[in-house]
Amino acid sequence: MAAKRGAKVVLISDSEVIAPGIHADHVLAVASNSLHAFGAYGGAMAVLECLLTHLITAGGDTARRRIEAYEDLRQDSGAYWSGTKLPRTGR
Amino acid sequence: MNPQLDPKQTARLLATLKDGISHMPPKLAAAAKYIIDNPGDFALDPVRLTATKAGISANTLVRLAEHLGFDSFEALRTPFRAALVTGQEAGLGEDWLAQMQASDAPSAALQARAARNEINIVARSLRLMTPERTAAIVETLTSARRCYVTATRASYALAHYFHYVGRMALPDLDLVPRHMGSAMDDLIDLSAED
Repeated sequence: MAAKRGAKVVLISDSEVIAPGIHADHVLAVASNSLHAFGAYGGAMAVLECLLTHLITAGGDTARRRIEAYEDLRQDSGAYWSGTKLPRTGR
Repeated sequence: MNPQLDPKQTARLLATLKDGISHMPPKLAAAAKYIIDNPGDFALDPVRLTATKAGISANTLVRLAEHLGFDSFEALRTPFRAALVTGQEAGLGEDWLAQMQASDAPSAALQARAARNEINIVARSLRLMTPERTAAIVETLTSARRCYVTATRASYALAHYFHYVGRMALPDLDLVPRHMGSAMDDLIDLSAED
């Protein structure tokens, strides 16, 4: 569907070939070997973390300000305990 | 090894801070909490910046260092700097893994194999992620009008995480489908015994 509409596809998979006829513009192959019955996602997670590092860096000041806005929202809504407002315990 | 540069000292210091925080005066506790929550920043930032970020005075940081038995703020920060660089982990070698493998502790051999497997899959995945591929993908994502991230079954967790953080950099990042299944489906066996 994506190809038909001309959209680009970035595929992160444990194989560069996932099915006949499916074409991805970019492929990041990850290892998912595990000692149990399911695939292990440590490798895929590491790749995503790296990609996020690049995207946030590429986002520059705009991304930084957006992240700060999320943080401010959480601070304002009391989602985090603030160390500077220490609850009194005992004394 | 200079004990100040022993990376394990950071873990010990963090444990000491966690154990002692409830008995510290409020300002020292605030400083301790900041270090526990931000050991990386604490290692890198100068004392005034740390004080600003933590909402305390530089003097409080000096007093915390003294409280912990250090003769200066710098002496407290040094082990955190030593432990900061992730290259330090590589510098430790993999003796720990060999020791784990050889240990008689329950499950040690299995944990060693599992840890080895995780190291291997991360290393292989990152090795395949060449700078050229990465740059091309970043260009594709940042130049797109909208980006959709999707996955199925267990890997949906990865897509959710990527979307949650990635939307900070790419506001037009959409997660599809946004909701997987229904909570009621998973509560089908709920009973009075639960």
